[in-house]
Amino acid sequence: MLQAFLVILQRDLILAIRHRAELMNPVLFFVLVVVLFPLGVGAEISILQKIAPGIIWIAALLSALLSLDRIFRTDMEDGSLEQMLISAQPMSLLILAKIIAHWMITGLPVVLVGPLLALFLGLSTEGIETLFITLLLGTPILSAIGSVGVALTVGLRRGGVILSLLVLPLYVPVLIFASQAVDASAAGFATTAPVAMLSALLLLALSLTPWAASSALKMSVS
Amino acid sequence: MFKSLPAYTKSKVLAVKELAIEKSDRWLFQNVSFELSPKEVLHLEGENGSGKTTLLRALCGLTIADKGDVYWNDVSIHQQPYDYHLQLSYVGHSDGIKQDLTVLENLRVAMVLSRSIYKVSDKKIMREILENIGLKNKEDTLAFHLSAGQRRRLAFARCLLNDSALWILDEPLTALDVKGVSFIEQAIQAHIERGGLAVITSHQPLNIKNVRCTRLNLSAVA
Repeated sequence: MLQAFLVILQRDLILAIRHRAELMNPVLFFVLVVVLFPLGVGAEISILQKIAPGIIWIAALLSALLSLDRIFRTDMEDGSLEQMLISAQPMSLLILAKIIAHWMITGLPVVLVGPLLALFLGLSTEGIETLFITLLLGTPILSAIGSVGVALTVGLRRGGVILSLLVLPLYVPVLIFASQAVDASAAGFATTAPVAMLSALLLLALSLTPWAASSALKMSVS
Repeated sequence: MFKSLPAYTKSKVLAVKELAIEKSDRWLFQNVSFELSPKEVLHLEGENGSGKTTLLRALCGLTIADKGDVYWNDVSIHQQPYDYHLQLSYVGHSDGIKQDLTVLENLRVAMVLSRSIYKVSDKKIMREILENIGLKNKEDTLAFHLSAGQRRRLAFARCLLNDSALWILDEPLTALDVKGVSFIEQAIQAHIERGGLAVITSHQPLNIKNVRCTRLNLSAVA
């Protein structure tokens, strides 16, 4: 079972590396959105400082949304998904591997670049530290919840709009707790509560979404 | 090349009872019933759009039937998904081959998914399999660079990777040259002689000797 998990993880990572242009897309989008904000809002550091956590988290949310479709879409098109569904391995385990692969491809770059951009926006050191932690805890939740949304819409010819409508409301708690944590730490308050909530959400998402996505895929494929 | 393999130990009876599937408000087919014992082939016939592929997908458990059910060893396949999937090899219309993976990488994923009896690390076995399917010295070629016929052979290799007693093949002979056709016919023959079952759709006549081959015409049942 562990071997199946690792082979699928490795497979998705190899596929991503062989599509380098697509690999860069989400993180490039993330950087562009954040960089455009000072141009639009003005370079007043006190304003930027105040809205930095919100900007970065919203950009992370949108860039995750942008890349969600590829968790299952190409596998659906070439029949790989069918083979996974009728394989002798538990589908939820394979989906967990795909979620983690998706996070490593799209979430991890955002986690690494996010703090750097926060520095440009003038966030304090404590704020940047908390931002890093919230991104680390929060971006896997985005991939996990997204996998259910994609699993539900992958059978539709044009599921893009429905996917955003379906997934964005579920992202809202992550956005609220994460930006709350960063705001609190920048203001010098304790961040234990929102960070603990994020950790709980992460565990919940990773343990439940593979099952939900697996059931949804069985419906989408039939 | 197929002679030396031992007989299947878990070959059972596949039974379909009063299967009916609806598609966009009309019955694609109704009252499809048959029983297939070890060492038998079922050749599905029917016009384009008569539901051959849908029936095959229902046999795999990918499509849920609106009426009736599929039984393996007298138990519904939906009650024993893992035991059934372990006995099943399916080569469908979309071949489940990743274009951006090499031949060997594709095989490796297929082997893990089917819990193959062979070890991925066993170079000798892998070379033998590749030689059998006519893709010798192609292990590091991207599937993208294979011809349609070669890709078909690679997809068919899935049937040879584990000890599955039931082969479900959707148009296995399309895009194949004379040698490829005879290779697949030989493989099916050896499979049947080992006590296996096969359900096949094909517009071309199948040339398999000394095998009980039942024909089922779906256009007639509709």
